[in-house]
Amino acid sequence: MARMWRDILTLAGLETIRMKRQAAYWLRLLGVERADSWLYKAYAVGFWVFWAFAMWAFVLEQVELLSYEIPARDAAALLDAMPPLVLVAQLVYLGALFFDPPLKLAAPDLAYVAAAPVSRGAIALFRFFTGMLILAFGLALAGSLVALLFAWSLDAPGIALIGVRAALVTFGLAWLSGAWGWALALARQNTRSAARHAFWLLIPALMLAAWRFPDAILWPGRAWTGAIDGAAWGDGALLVAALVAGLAALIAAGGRAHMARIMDHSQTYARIRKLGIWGQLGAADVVARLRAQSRLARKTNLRGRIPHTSGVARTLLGQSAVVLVRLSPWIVLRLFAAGATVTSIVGALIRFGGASSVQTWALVFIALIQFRPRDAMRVYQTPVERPFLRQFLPGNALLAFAGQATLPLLVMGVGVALGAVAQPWAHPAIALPLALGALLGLALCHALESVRVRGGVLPRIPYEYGVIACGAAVVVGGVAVGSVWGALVAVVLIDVALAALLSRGVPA
Amino acid sequence: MLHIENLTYQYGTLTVLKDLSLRLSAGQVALLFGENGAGKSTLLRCVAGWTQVRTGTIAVQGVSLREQDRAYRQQVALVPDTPDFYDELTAWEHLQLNAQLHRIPAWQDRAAYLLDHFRLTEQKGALPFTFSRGMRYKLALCLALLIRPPLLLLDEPFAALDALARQTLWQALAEHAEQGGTVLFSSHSAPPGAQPDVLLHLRDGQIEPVEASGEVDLTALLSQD
Repeated sequence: MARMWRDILTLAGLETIRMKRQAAYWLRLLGVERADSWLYKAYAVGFWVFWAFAMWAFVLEQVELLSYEIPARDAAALLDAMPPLVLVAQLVYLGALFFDPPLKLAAPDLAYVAAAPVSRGAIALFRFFTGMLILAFGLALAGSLVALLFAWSLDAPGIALIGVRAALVTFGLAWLSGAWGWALALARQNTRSAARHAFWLLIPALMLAAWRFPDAILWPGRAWTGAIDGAAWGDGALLVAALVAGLAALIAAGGRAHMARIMDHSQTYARIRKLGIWGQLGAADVVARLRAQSRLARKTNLRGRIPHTSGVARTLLGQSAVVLVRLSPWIVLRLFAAGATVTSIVGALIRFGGASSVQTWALVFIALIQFRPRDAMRVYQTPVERPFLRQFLPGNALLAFAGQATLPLLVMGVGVALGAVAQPWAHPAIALPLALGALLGLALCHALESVRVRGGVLPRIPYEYGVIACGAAVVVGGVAVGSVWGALVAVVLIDVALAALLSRGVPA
Repeated sequence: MLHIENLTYQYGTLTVLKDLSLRLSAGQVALLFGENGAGKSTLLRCVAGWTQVRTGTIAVQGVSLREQDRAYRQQVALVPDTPDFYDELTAWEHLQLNAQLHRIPAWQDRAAYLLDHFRLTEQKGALPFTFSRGMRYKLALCLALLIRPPLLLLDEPFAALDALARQTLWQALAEHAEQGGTVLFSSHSAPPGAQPDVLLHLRDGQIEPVEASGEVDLTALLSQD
């Protein structure tokens, strides 16, 4: 035990250095340098504290306004449903930890900490604390706001105390759920592969137990609602005791952790962490590729086969199907949701802004520029970024587009079609072809970015310029004819023109 | 076969290739050498059509890159020093995709032969991003050799390969040349026993042919500068 505390102190020393460096970075972003005078530092801290309080007050005001929209009877019914909802949230979190074990080490830890004779229990405990700190704090704020929403709606007395109590209980519950979640996930990671699957049974077992013994399983949620109803010191004591037990379980499971397995599991995380915070945000495609590689590398059986055929288009279609099947289990849902979402957003903008308003079309263009069908164009885009692969593809970029983008665009098109048909202000006979034609146009604009039109007639056309030019032509077409049919004809003509340009393109 | 006339290429204000001209015949294996930063990779990328050339002409078998871009690209394949692949496809599926896109009949035998030749048969069902650098290069070579391009360009092919694979590659290049193909590769060293038909020294943005006789000693040739 003494050794473990010594290890914890060593890790705390390392973490302090790291946190100091991070704090210096964030303070610099907020306009405070280490070399600044104390007077300026105090002024800057005061300014940002005031800003935080002002923001918090604004959010509280919005929550209070929202609470007036919720009738007290509905609020009471919702409050009754909170304990099972808290359990569902805990089980989802547990499932996520089972799916992706939480103990991961960054590159410096892999090089120095993992290789050193440091207690694995101490490493697990320390990574848990550093990983949970911001999450628990954020959840405490959110928990406090939700409790205040209920309190205002139910006209409960002692609003200020309710906010503080709820924040404290949520903070404690976050640590409790985290400690037990980490402990179980680590225990699962330490177990042999056959028994590992049995851990998933915990989730339905806990649901069943909540139904049979609600007092034993739903008490965390009830402790949270207790923060609104009135302080329940017994729940608080139970929470602290359960948290201590959870931390003990975490240390025990962490102490048995298989370091080689953890190091292996940490490789992708370490590579992503190396990119830094802004690097991770700016290089989302790199992060996505690293994650996809990690997922693919774990697979023992790759689904799908490229069909044996002599046709170029069929080969490319087969390739895109295989890539889609292997890419991610969520890709089809993501494609569908992206199509439905953007159509709904554009539909809402036109409906509420009015089709004759210039601002409406400016907003529509911004939405469409932001909505680049990246996922649908992924198979097409890969060789564009890797010239070694691109040289083996057909010279006709339109053929490559048709082979590699048709399938994902069809899936996205289903989402787009549903979004278009759901618009109450437009007849499906016009909304459907207009939306699908626009999707094809966006995809072609994306594809055109990868080519120069043959003979140097036109340079490479950036996606944004393509969308603005084509969008303007569609609006002008609609206005000139004085009907949506004019816009539809313009969309069809633009799609044909874009396809013709793409077919004449050579790699940019 | 390969005909380059007055090729000039600049990175900003730095002129890398200056009024460069070169002719290679069918069946020749040419070794391009020069100091670091001499422009070897740039020249190969220009010839492959990966980099847009504004001054000068490049043609393979009479087909001009500028005037018949698509037809030209069918004549050339370049294996860069760090080839990249589809993450989702296995090594064998890369070969299948390539073969079917180029409509190569009975490609399976040739693909299996190449994998066997480069000792990749056991890894044919694996994903290339899990390969070592040398294995990735071998797979890239298999992909390029599978389609038998009239002009095969290789950037630093021997750097990533083990001694055995170097010999195998040299045999494969000689075989490709025997069948009428032309090979242009850049290297800082030639494998023992390798005797390219042509030695091309890239210096000051221009090509200087060097007499090739016996064992190639690039260190000695470079130190003559």
